[in-house]
Amino acid sequence: MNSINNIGVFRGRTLLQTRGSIGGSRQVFVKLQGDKNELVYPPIGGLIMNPFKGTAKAFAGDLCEYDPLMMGEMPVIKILKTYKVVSASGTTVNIERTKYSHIPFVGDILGVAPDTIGGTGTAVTVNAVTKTKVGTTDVWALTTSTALSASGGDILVEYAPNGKMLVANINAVIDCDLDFLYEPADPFSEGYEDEFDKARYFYAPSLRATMLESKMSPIPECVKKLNLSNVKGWFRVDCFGHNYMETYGLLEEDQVQ
Amino acid sequence: MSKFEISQYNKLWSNEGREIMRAIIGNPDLITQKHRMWATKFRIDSNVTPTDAHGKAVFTSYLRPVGQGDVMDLRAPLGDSNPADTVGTQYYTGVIPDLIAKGFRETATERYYKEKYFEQFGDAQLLAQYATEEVQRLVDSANKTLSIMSGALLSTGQITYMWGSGIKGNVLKADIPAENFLNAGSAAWSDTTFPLLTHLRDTVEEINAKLNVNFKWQLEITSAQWRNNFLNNTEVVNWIKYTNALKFVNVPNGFPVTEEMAKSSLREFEGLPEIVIVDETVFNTENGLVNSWADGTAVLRPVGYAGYIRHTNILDEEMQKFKSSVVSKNFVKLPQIPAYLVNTVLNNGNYKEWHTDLMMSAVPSLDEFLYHFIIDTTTAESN
Repeated sequence: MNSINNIGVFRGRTLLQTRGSIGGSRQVFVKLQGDKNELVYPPIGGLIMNPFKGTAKAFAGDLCEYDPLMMGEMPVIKILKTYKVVSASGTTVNIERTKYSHIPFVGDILGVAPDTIGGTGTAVTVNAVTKTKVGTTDVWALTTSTALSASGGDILVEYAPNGKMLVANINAVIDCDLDFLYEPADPFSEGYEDEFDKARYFYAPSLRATMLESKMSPIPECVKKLNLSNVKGWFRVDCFGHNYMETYGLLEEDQVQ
Repeated sequence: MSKFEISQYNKLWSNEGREIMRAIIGNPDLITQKHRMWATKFRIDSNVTPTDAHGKAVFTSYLRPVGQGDVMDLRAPLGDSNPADTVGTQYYTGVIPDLIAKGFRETATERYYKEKYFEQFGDAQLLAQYATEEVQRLVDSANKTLSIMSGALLSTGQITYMWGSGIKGNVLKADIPAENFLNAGSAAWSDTTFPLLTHLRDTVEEINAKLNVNFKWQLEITSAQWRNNFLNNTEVVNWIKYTNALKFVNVPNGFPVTEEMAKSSLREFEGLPEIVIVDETVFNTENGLVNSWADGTAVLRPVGYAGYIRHTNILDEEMQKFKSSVVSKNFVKLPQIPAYLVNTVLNNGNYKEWHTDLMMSAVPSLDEFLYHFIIDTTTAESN
């Protein structure tokens, strides 16, 4: 049975609901007059390397890394997923749960954002996710593999298996909400090259945008440093903007001038 | 208005340019259709597979196996029957990927150069150069891409797209039963003493009996396998000599056997599948010479088409209803290929810029998958 295409037979009755709103939106992009040149897409686009492990959403204005990996390799996209810590104690981490929050899943490897984007930090694996409240605040209570040293206000990000922050650069933006509906294949897993049936997502992000910080998903400090806007409260991404890659040591050794 | 403004070349990017483009593409003196192996194996689906809101363009391939009864059970009177198992309709689904060729781009200063060129050599030269270089290249891209995917699907049962400089990875896997992947037989086909023709005849007979069918079969092999394994095989050479001797034609030892001579003789070997030579080697800048059909792989399948080229809408064309007034795009469907040439005019600073792109959302689907046999001719059966 191929559940991805909703093919199958159940002779009983299935009760299933969804709820939400259609048509409303939270305006994250700064409304500017005049000719803009922001819906600019790169050649090809890329494979999303870190799709959500279940039904979830990436939002308009979310930041991502577009890596063309030229010289015969494959272009990829890594979405910056962020989770705001409400409180943490031992192996329980409570993260903010709103209708505009990225949803955590069992198997996610998360840690407090490092000082430098793409840097090293302590990461834990999420073993369980429970919807609950801390006081009057809706949270997801994450049960983690080991204790995570985190405080309220910290921002968690995804980590790669090598212990570094998964997203190593910010140069592109999600230009509209994206619904992830299917169980994805994991490009980092063994056996990925034999995977045909699980979902693989191809996407072309926008290479420029200006967002209202207050409307964006939570931004860790290491990402705030990459803001190209000189207007307080606006976050500007422009893949053709100031080259901060050398400043923040993101260039390979042979690329440093 | 300067002469260039009314030239045919400049009009290519206007609304009336669609007709000029169609005339170019349909002119066999300007555009030749090469690398068309795919068109000998697959037909273009007359239906467009719709793309849903989830971004999937899903097609389904159905095939009903031919049922057959077993021999009866000896019983005592009044003894009831055992229930029979039944086999339902087999299917698999696939999704259609999006492809784009390397594009043509011309800035205003490059156009200025062209205008001066036009004043010296005339419009026909410009159009011919654009058609035979840029458009031909794009048409070749479409045909090469479909052929390379077809070769992979036919010879391995799946398409893993590792070519070009775009996204790479798995695209499609047909639901060929595991028992349809065969080995060479008692010896690899490179063994010249292996009774190749007898083995092929016996294999076809066995398949017909097991599946309760009586198809006309074909064996598809690469030209290298034909030259190296067939024309050197002792049984094949002896059969060619025998059939020619019956016509009082002497074939001396070591005489080079032509394809036509060999095929003519082999047609007289009763029960042998038709031998079809497949040639889908293409050249790709990033990958060099690419052959998606390995030389040691033979495919045994019923004579006829293997399936359809499934295709779906192109989002870039659908988004035209929201297009900016300073950008114009013309979409022209290629004849005989489910792909679109797209001519775009947009702004670049104070001036215009012109693009030509080729977009295709298509993939071959194997629709005789239950009767598709893939033979690894390099590996003998283990005892």
